[in-house]
Amino acid sequence: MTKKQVIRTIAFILVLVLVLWRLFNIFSITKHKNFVARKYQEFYQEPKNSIDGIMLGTSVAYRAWNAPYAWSQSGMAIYSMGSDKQPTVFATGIIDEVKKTQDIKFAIIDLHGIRQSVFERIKQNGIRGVTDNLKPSKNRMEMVEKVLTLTENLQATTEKEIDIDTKDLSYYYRFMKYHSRWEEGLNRRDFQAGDPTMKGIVESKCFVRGGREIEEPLTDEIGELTDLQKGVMEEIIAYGKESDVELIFISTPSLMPVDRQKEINAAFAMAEEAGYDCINMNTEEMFKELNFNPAVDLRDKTHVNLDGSEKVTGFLVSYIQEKYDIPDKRGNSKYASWDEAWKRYQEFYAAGVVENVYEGEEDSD
Amino acid sequence: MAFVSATFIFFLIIVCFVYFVIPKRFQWIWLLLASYVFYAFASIKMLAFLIFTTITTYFTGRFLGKVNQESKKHLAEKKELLTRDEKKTFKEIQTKKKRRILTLTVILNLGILIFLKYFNFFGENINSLLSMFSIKGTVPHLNLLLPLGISFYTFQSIGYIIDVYRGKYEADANLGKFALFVGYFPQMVQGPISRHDQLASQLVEEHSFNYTRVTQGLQLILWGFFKKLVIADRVGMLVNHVFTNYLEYEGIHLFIAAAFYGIQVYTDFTAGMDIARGVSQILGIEMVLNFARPYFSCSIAEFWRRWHITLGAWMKDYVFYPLSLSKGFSRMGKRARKILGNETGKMFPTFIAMFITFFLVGVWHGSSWKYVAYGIWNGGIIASSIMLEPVYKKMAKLFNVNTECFSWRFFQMARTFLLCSIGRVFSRADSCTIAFDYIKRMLTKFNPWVLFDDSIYTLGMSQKNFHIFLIMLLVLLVVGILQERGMQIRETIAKQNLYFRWLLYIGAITVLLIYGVYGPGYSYTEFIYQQF
Repeated sequence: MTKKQVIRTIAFILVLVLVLWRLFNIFSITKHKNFVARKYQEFYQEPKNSIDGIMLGTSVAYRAWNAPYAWSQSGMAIYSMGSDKQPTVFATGIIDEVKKTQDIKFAIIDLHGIRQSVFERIKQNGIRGVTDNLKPSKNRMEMVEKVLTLTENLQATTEKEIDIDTKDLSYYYRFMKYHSRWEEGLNRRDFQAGDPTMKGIVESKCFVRGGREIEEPLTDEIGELTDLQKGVMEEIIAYGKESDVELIFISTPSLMPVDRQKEINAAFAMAEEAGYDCINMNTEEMFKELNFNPAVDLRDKTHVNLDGSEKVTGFLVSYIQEKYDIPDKRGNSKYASWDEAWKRYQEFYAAGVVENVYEGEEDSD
Repeated sequence: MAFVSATFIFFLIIVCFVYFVIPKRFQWIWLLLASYVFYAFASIKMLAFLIFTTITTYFTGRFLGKVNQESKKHLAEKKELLTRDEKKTFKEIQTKKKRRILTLTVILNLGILIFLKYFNFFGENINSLLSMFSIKGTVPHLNLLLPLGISFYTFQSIGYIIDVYRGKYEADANLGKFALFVGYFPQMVQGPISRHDQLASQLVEEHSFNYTRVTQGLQLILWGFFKKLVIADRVGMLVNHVFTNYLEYEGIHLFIAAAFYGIQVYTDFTAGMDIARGVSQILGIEMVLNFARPYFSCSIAEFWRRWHITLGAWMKDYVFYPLSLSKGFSRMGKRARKILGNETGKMFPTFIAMFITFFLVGVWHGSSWKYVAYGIWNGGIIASSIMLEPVYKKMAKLFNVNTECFSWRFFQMARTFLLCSIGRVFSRADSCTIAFDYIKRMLTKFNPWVLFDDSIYTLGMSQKNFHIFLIMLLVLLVVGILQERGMQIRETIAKQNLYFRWLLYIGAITVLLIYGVYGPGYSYTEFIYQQF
C-alpha cells in the first residue's frame, strides 16, 4: 500500500464518518416530538459539575419536578432525568451516567414506577426513552442487559408476554431502529437542532385541570411486593449505601387505587428500614401541607399540572435547603441557561396557553 | 453466522487483518482455521459431517491418484512388452479397482446427504402410501438437522473425486489444504460449487495486500449487501404476504407476487454470491461466477446456463454427459430411432437425460413434491422446446416474423420470465397442491384493474416501500444492461474522478443504511439458497 493510498483511505474514512454522524443524528428519535430525547440531549450540554441533584422516575416525576421554579426559589440546579414509563431498574444506571459529568449530591427517586401496573408492564418506549438517549457507553450496555433480563424474568414469573424488541444491536446502535423513519416522513425540523425545553418542563396539557376528586381513600397500609420488585428495591438500596450520592425516595401526589398505594408504601418501608429519607406525598397530612387539591392541581389521575408541580417543587426545595448546604447560583454566568429557562417559563406561564403542543402518546405514567 | 450481520463483518475484519499480517506461508492455515470457526458458529456438532466428507474424499482421492500413477508407470514401463489386449485388460482392472472405491465414497457421502435431506420425505410418503391400503405406516419422523452447506460441499467433493478418477488432475496430497478446499467459508452459505483445479491452488497461494483488489472486493460486498437488504428483503415482504394469504388474491396480484419472488430469489442468491466473491477478492482469491444475468435469457435452457452456473455445470459434467454418453442410452437411442423415426429418435436419449438432470436439479433444492414438480416443470419446458424447435422455426417463417430484431428478443425474454415465474410458484409455495391451486387462481382470472386501483399497495409492502423497490430495481436493471453490453462496472468506476467515486460509494452506503430492511421489527431473513 503506497503512502498516497494510505492518506486517501484515511481521508475517505473521515468523510464517511462525518456523513454517517450527520445521518445518525437525523435518524435519531425525533427531536421535536420526543420531549425526553430533547431533555436528555440538553442534560449532556450542561456545564461539567454544575448540577446539584437529579430527579428520577416515570412521567409522574418529570411532571412534578418544576426545575425553573426551583431555580427561581433557591438558585439550585436540580435536573429532571425522569422519562415516560421509566423502568425503576434504570435508577442506578442513570445516576452512574449523571455522575460521569456531574458531581451531584443527591438523587430524588419517585417510586410510582415500582407499582405492578408499571413494573410488570415494561414498555418499549420506557426502555428506549432512556437507553436511546444516553451516550453510548458500557453503562448503557449494562442497563440494556439489566432491563432485558428483568423482562425475561417477568415473563417467566407472570407468564405474560411483554412486547418489546428482543435483544439486538439496535439497543446499542439506535440507528438500526430509527433508520426506517424515512417511511413516516422526515421534515425540516429533523435536520435542525431542537428548541430548548425549559429544563424539562412539559408543555403539553400542563395547564389542564383534571377536576379529579379523591375516589379511593389514602392509606398508609403496607402491601406485598413481588420478589422481582423487592430485588430492584434492594439493588437501589445497596447502591445508595456504597455511593456518595444520597438517595431520597418520594411519591408525588396522585390518585391511586388502594392496592397500588400499598405497593409504594411497601417500597417506602424497605427504604426507611435501610435508613433512607422518604417523602410520601400521598397522605392526608402531606396533601394538607402542600395545600394540594386534586381537583385543581392534577392534570389526570396520576400527573400533576403546572400548578401542582409548583406546590410539589416548592415543598421539595424547602426540604433540600434544610438538609443540604447548597449555594444560590442565580446570576452566575455559568448558570445563564437556568436564568434563561426561568425567564422563558414565566412568559410561558403568563401566557397560559399551550403552544407547540406535545403530540406524542398520552402519558399514562 | 449470517453474511449480513455485524458478527460476520467483525469476523471478516479479523480474518482479513490477520491474513495479511502473518507470514504468507501460514495464510492458508489461518483460512482453514477461520473457515472452521465460521462453520462452528452454525453448529459445532455439524462440523463432524464436514470433516467426515473431507477425510473420506481426501483418502479416496489419494487412492485414485495412486492407482492412476501406478497405471501410467506400469504402461510406460511395459509399453513395448504388452499387447493391445493386455493393455486394455490392465486398464479395465485398474478402472474396476478405482470404480469400486469411488462408488463407495460417493454412496457414503451422497447417502449422508440423502438421509439427512430426504429421509423424512420418503418416510412420510411411504406411510401415506401404506395408509391407502389401511396399513399403519411405521417409518418414524426424525428430527434431522441439515448441516450448513452440505449440498454444496458434498457436490464439490464428489466432483473432485470423479475428476481425479477420470485423471483430469492429480489428487491433493495435503489433507489440510484439501480441507480448506472443501470447507472454505465464503462458499459455505450457498456455494458456488467450485472445482478443485480452479480454486484449490489459489487458496494455498501466498497473497500480498493489494489496494485495488481490496477496494474492488469491498465494492462487491457493498453491492451484495445492497441487493440483499434493499431489494431482496424488501420485496420479500410482499412475496411472503401474498404467498401466505394467496386465497385472498387472484389473477394479476398472484402473478405480481410470483414474478417478484423471482426477483427476490435472484437478488438474494446473487447477493450472497457477491459477498462471497467480494470476501475472496480481498483475500486474493477469484471465485467462479455463478450468475450471468439470467433474466436476459431468451429461453429456459439459456436461463439455466446463466442461473446457478456451477450447479448446472456440475449436473452437466457428472450427470447429463455420463448418462447421455452411456451404453444404455446409446442402446435406447437405437431403439428409439426404430420406433420414433430418425429425427426424433436421435433426440430421445438427450431428451431423457435432460429430463433426469432437471428432475435432479429440482430435487436438489429440497425434499418435497413441490421441488419434484419444479424439476419436472423446468425439464419439461426444456425438453419440449428442443422437441418443438423445428415447429417454432416453421411458424416464424409462416408468419414472417423477424427473429433478428430486438422486439423478438424482448418477446423471448418476457416469455422466459413468465415461464420462470410460473415455475417459481412450485419452489415458493408451501406445498405442491398449493402451488397448483395458486397457478390456477393466477391464470384463470384476468383483473388488470388492480394495476390502477392502488390495491398493489395492500399486498404487504407499503406504497413508499413499493416505490423504493421499483427505483432500486431500475438501478439493478441499468447495471444489468450495462454488464450485458460488456461494461466492466467496477473498472469503469475506477477510471472516474476521485470526487465522483467517493460520492458514489458514500451515496451507496447511505442508501443501504437508510433503505436497508433490518433492525427490530424485521426478523432476519437468511439467504434463500442457504436452506438448500
